[in-house]
Amino acid sequence: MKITNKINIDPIAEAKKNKHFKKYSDEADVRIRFAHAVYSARTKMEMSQQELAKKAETTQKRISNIENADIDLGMSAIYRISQALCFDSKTLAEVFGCDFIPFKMVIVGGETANSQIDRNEKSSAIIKIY
Amino acid sequence: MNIIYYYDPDLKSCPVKQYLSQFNVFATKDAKLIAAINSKIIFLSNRENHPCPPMSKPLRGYSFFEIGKNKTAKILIRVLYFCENGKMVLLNAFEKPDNYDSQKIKKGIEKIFDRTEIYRQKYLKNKNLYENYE
Repeated sequence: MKITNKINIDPIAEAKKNKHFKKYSDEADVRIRFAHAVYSARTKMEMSQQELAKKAETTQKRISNIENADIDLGMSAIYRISQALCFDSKTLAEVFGCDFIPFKMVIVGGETANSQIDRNEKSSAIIKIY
Repeated sequence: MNIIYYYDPDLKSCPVKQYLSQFNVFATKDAKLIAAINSKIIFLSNRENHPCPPMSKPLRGYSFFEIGKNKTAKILIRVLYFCENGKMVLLNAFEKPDNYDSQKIKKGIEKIFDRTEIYRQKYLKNKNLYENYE
């Protein structure tokens, strides 16, 4: 039988009552996804934190904080790190929870589009991604 | 993976809950901290392999892992957990300085790890020692 102790309030459940909790969680989720993307790409490239720091013009401590999802980054830092790790648009779309619209796609029953189609067109079309 | 808090019958509480209850969840800074810890725990609960660096790391000589979070620039929070039979069991939480050389602090941390290992053993002996993570 599960032990229940009603004297102990769950602090996480309590925190969820804070009206901004969802916003804070969404922000934390982005930091976690970016951290994971940085760590995965860096280890795949067999690069040390120090080497990445040098390439991205920052410090090893900052890279460590980024990989621990413990830091809010500015645009320029995101840009430099993304460049250093050769992030593609799909990775960045996943990190920021955006729709990924590839450049080359075929609309089923329609013509080939070589350029990015706009969001309205995308939402109404059935597409195959190549 | 289900997330649960280890409940200690001697303490009559869950050590992780007890640690987290020091925060004022309606203060912006603390709510952000709790949200970040919660997000990390949920992220890890959706992973199959543990530890899952960089979000969780192994501890040499121990059978549980640690989740890290900066409380301030110089204070780190550590949440200790292990996985068993499809459950992510949150065993203990504590804080420590970012940089330390003192033997006293090292010994203090070892003591916490040893206590956490006892919690793990107690849970493995009695798998009803838990409370649900909400």
